[in-house]
Amino acid sequence: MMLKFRILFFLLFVSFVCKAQQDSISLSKHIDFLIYLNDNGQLDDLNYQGDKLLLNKYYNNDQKDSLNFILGMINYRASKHSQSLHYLKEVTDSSIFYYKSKFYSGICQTEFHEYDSAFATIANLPTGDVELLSQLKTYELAAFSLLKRDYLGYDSLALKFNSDDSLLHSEQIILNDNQQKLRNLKRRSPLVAGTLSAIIPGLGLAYSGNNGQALAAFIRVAALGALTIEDYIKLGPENPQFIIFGSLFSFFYIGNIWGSALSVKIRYDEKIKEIDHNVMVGLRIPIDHFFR
Amino acid sequence: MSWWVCGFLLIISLDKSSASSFREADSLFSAGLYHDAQIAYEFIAFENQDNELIIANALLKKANCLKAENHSDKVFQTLSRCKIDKLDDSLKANIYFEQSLSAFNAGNFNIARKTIEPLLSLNTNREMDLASVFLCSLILDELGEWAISKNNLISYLNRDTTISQSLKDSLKNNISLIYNPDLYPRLKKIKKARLLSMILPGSGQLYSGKPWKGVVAFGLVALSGAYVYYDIVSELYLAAAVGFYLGETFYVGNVNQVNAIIIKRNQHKIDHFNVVNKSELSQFYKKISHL
Repeated sequence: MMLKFRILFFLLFVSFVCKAQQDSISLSKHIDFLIYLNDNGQLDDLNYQGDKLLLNKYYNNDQKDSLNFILGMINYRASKHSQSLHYLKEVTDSSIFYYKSKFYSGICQTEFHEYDSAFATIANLPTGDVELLSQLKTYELAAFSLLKRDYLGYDSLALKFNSDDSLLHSEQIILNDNQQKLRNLKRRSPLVAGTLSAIIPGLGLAYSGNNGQALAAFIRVAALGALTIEDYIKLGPENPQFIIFGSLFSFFYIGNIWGSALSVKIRYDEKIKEIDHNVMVGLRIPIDHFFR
Repeated sequence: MSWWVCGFLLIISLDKSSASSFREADSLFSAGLYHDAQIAYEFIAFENQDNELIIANALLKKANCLKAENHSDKVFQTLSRCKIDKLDDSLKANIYFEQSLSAFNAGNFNIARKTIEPLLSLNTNREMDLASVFLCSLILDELGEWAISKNNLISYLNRDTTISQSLKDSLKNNISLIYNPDLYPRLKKIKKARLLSMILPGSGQLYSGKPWKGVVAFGLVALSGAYVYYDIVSELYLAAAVGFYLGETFYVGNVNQVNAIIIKRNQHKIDHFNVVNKSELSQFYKKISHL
């Protein structure tokens, strides 16, 4: 009787253990599932499932850190920077993924022009005695300073550039070049551009660096000018055709002056944007390399 | 008795088959938790990556969840993940049908046609055969292929053995009335309209049923020509060059304009004809499907 009771108890115990194991599928399997969803382009499902897993009270902080990190990186690779930042920010300092998460959070923040937040995210990272990590942090902070146009901050950080790593070293040189370009970038005078275009149509556009547009503007205004002169000579000043072409010529001539003055600012903004883009691309290269 | 209870509990706890996973996912779907059900079906597909049959079933059910959530646009892409050639005819038919329906609802009629055509050659049950024939006819109607649509319906009636001969004859008469060639919208030909506009600016617009647009197109080209003539006579060669440039622009514009006009007008005619057809076809479908 006692033996039968023991066997019965054992079987019941085994059945409930099996059921419990089935209910709580291992985290690694869930992560494999998330990767499977990503491989099949089901990003919405992936985030939905990820959020559900993060609410699972049976996972400890380390496991949730891993989940947040994986979800953050998958979203980052899919260029979903807002979602990526949402997950990466949640990775705690006890995680082995903490540093990587913080660096990638910084990159995501720059995508939204949140340079101060990006700076604060990286500035608070303790680097200890790891020289390469310290150099990487300095490099990132310098890049954020440049994006913020904090040249004094950049100078003080750039003094610490001393990397033995060849890739980081070359990126530091490129960042310095970009910094020089930003500092040397002079906004040309809209007044000069307008005056030049008044003298020779299109010259102001050439002055601001738009050579193609300058040629097009010159041909347009010159053709209309020639038409107006032809009509003036052959038809006289009171002829309607002269008045129409004369008006058109005046319109395009004034437009060319106005356009030249505006193009100075547009060209300047384009150049700034281009340098900022180069700095932002440069932010990623050493991070990808370091955490590969 | 206690041994039986233990055995039952063990079987329940160890039941990790795909059937039980499907049951769980189906219960989520029944409870209206569509996104959870979608994930559950995806999980089934994930756990059975070497079994194309289970993957196809899971993705088909996921497609139902997407439809329930009004995300029909994602159905086509979801079902594209199925490896069709490894499935039996019944599953293939279901996948083709859902994909075609999704493309039809999205207004991609050419894609819908390409997807439904392989389905018609499959060996399926009567219900699927009937549904696919009617979906195919709806698609063909939208593409203005009414004669093929009619043949499609008649060939179905010929092969359906559950319908009596007298009813078949009556239904064929109905089809002939619905698809009476005399009632087909008279669609304009783009090539003809373009040729007309090339020969005489504005005449393509006139042919397309937009006489005022034709008058404007003709007027612009004619005025440009007159202006060029006047300038040459007056020895205003620069102005003549500008006039020629304008005239050439108006001429090319006049030819290109007929494309847009004809496409719009033909579609309007097709839509108008199909509105009537659709209601007739739905009555027809109901009548046959209840047999």
